[in-house]
Amino acid sequence: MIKVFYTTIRDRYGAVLIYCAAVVGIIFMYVGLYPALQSQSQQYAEIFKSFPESFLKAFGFESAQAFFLSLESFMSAEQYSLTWPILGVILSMSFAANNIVHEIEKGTIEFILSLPLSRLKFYFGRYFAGLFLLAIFTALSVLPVIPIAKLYDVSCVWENYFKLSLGAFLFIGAIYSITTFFSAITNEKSKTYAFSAGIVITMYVLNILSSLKENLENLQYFSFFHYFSASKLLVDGEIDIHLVWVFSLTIVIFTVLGAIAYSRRDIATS
Amino acid sequence: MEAAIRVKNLKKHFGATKAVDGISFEVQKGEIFGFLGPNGAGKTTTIRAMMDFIRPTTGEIEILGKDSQEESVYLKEKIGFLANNAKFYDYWTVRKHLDYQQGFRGKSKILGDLLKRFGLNPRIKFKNLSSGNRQKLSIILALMNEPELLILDEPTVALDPLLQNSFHQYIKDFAKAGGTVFMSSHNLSEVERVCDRVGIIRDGKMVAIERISEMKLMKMYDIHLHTAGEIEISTLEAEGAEVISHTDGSYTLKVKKDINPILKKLATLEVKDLEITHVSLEDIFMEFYQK
Repeated sequence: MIKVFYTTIRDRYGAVLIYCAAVVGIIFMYVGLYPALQSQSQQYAEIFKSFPESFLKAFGFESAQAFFLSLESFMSAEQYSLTWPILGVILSMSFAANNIVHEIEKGTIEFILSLPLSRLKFYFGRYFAGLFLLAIFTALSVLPVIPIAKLYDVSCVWENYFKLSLGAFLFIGAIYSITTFFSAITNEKSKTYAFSAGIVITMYVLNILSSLKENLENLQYFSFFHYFSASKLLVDGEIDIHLVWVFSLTIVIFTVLGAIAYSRRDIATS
Repeated sequence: MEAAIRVKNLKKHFGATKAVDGISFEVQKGEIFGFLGPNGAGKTTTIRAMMDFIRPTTGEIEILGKDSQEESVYLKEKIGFLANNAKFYDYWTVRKHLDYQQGFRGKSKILGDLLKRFGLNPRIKFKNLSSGNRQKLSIILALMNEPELLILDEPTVALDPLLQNSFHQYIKDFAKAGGTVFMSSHNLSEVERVCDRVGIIRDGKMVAIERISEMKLMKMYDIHLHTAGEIEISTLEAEGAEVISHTDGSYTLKVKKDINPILKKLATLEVKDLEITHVSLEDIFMEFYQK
């Protein structure tokens, strides 16, 4: 399993570093712009007033005034409520699809299956390598805000970035686990992406719908985007226990289901 | 003699499709067993079930005395496998593939010799290899850890005749040293040259298992006959004889087993020319394919 883990990391770390470099570049830009934008916060607040409150809420802004209140509220709204989740979801789905279904589609799985290596060891070797790289991605795309803020002499609540890292990691870890499950049961990458992206998009829509109409409010509990609130984690420094439970359970359940399915299934390449 | 492979009533159904439908056979240790059959007959499905890539609907597969599914990891240490049209990682070099396998199966003592014998440069990335070199990589991966059993799905596809000969010699030596070879092939002359026995599968069923030496003794003849004039086809009807083609007093017949009934018929005709030959082993294989 160690060999699979190590080889997977060696094959994929390049992609993680590119993603992280892009995110760090964006962080540099936002933190650098923040002092200038904050000085014009009054004018922006006027513009924001024209947006419906529920619309702002759906996109992670609790209120227009709160937007420039701190670097955390600014970063939460600009980076960690939408851009970062999109990057995280893409990266986690791509890693998960590459774990199993990509090997089946390409036909390389027969090389792997001919080795004296149990299916479970291969599955978990691949799974944990991907999870480890997602942890690295999360850390390198959230925590650099602390030194960059120092560089620009902007004050920040550093411990909240660690809390955001944990919440964000659990969030993309859950999506990674769901996609790994589909990767283990399908024969085509397109099907894996269709199923898992379908689930993520449905959850995103449910979250928006729940904030638009009061009678649809309960739909929010079926959405990961309800539990993963960058503003709660980063601005309020609050780790909701539901976030930990929902994402941890999702990770465990889908990982185990994926392992069972993969170890039992027929694997025939075309 | 001890069986290296024992397959008993193997069935693999994919929904309504019966890919393999109750085949049984044994391959003895030290034997080279050819596995033949037309496309879609169930050869690759059988091999995949033997390698535990797919699970049988019913039936038993025992390899080197162990259950192929329960002892899959143990057996893969003993088996050198070559997949039909094997795929590898485009961005890995040949060396990385070899090292990866060695990470699981231990360092190969014969890798240097194999690379030299097959003339493969280990520094080239898989995506840049020609189809012949890709096949060489598959062969080297199958052989490099000196397995007890080789399971090969069309091993010489894309190899030039010189390398085919080199490979044939290698597996003959391998079998002489006590190794067992189970190989599927569409190359009938290869099977004739290399294998001790053949199993022929068609529509998921095993239609024949014969020793090559016995197959060669199977009496089948081609008869080319020219008569003075047109004759009725029914005149040539005899036990075991079949008219394959006829034009303007020229007739081609295939005769199985006893040639005497047709000879008696021919003796009654006015024959201008007659040629009787033994059919090749390839024709005998084709008989089984088409039965």
